[in-house]
Amino acid sequence: MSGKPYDVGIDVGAISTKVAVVDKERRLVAHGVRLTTMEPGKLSRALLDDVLSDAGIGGDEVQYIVATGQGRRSVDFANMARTEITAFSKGAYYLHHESIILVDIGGQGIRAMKRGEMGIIEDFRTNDKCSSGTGSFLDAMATALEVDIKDAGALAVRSCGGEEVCATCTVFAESEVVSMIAKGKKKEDILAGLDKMVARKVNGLINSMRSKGPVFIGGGVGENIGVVEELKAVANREVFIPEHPQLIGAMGAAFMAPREHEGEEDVMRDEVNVKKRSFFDLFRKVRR
Amino acid sequence: MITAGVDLGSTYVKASIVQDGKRVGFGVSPTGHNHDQTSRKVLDQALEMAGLKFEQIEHIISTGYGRRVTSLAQESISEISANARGVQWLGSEIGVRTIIDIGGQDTKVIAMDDNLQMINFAMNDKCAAGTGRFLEVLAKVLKVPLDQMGEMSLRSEQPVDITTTCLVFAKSEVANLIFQGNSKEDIIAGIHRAVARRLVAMAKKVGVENVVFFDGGPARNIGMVRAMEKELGMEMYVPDMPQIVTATGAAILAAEKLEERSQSS
Repeated sequence: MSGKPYDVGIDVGAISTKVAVVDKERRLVAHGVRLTTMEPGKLSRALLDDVLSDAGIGGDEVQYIVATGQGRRSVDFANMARTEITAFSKGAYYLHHESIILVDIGGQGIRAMKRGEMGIIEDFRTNDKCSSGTGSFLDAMATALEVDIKDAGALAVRSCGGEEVCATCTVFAESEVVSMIAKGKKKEDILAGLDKMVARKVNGLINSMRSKGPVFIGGGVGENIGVVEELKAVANREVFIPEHPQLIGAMGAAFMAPREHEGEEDVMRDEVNVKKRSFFDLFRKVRR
Repeated sequence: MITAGVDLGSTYVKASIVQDGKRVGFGVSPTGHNHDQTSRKVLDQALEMAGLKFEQIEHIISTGYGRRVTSLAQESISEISANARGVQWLGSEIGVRTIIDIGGQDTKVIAMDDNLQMINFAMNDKCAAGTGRFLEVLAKVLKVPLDQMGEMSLRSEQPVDITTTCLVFAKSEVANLIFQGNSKEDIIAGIHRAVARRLVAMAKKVGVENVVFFDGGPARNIGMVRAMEKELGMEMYVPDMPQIVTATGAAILAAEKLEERSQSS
């Protein structure tokens, strides 16, 4: 193979699109995040170009581009596409080998995965119907509270006692938050209550995976210190937070680029085969 | 005898005045932060329509989600009972067996027996999908006035499929559908169908029997009614003023309470 030093992962999420540039030692070299637009293909091209030029990397230095996330199919210039489950688990596995439960708290989805041997996923669960506890939930609450979502976590950890949030539904919680403000409750206490609720929800999902192993938290919500602290308090197990939680999917996608020292067979399997293989692994385990 | 019912819903406050077994006035206003003020305001609207004075009202019963936070009423009762009473009164001749009531934040399905007594009910109170709020928020995304949704949807030739359940996700889905160039008519018809499917699934759990009575604010939306009828596979009975059925039920109950008291004393 040629000596191009970098691989790129593009994670087109429901809310934001992430680009990660990694070198062959799986180190993050450059990255960028932008809100997903209606034309994710165009957006990811522009974002990638900006990230590369800011880092002083030429387009010809990139060997593979791997797309992932809900909008992966619209990245027409990518060399391959992988599901967000595969990409996230790969990213989490390389960053923290010990974690058994991998949780991706994204803008619209919470996905909990159980890792088996070799970083292969044995089982996963996701919220498919409800936005409660996702990034969209926290975003709507921050908007209702007139707090920048980036400051929401830091503000929440300053609270001395969180409020109790009763509503589950994002839409109803929004009205509940508005009436709490009207009653003169402190923003940090409301945020702490919301973070606690999200943490409880995520912890429920973690517990449903039936493993006592360490848990890895990634996805945009992983950047929120308020949620992370509440989760550490309720999880009752080791919680690992990577340096760039939001980029795990994109990094994992980049890690899946073919490498010289790895067998072609391992590298070139497509999405369907990944699913098949993990299914059969599971099947074999059950039979044993 | 003059009595009033005030229904403090999550989105609208409704009042109804009943004089000697006849509805003589009503009022509707969006729920604000001050429940006392809003409930007085809608009651004044109703009084004006009836040509009556506040002092003439002998008994007031409050109902709905905010029934305990108004000082206007002497008594309060759950919205399920008030709604059922309103339907009994309005629909005594048509023989109602199932009530589907869509509110701003919750949806109720009530099953009744031959004597119009409540035998079962189901309620959707955790999730905004399938409530009036769902329609309201998506109308905003589409930049269509809520009142026009019904008529617009009737012009649709091919309703789109709304695949998401959660309102938060539906918002982005609708924005995406607009971007893809679908007509607003088709999107609105799709929204109605999505809400109707959820409601009908819930109604079937309780059991749907003819005659079906449809009330609550969204029952004023003709597109919503048609979509419901299509999913149910049967016609529904929609009253003239579907939004104030519960308030009227409370007013009727207030009259009955007064009568009971005068008999016992």
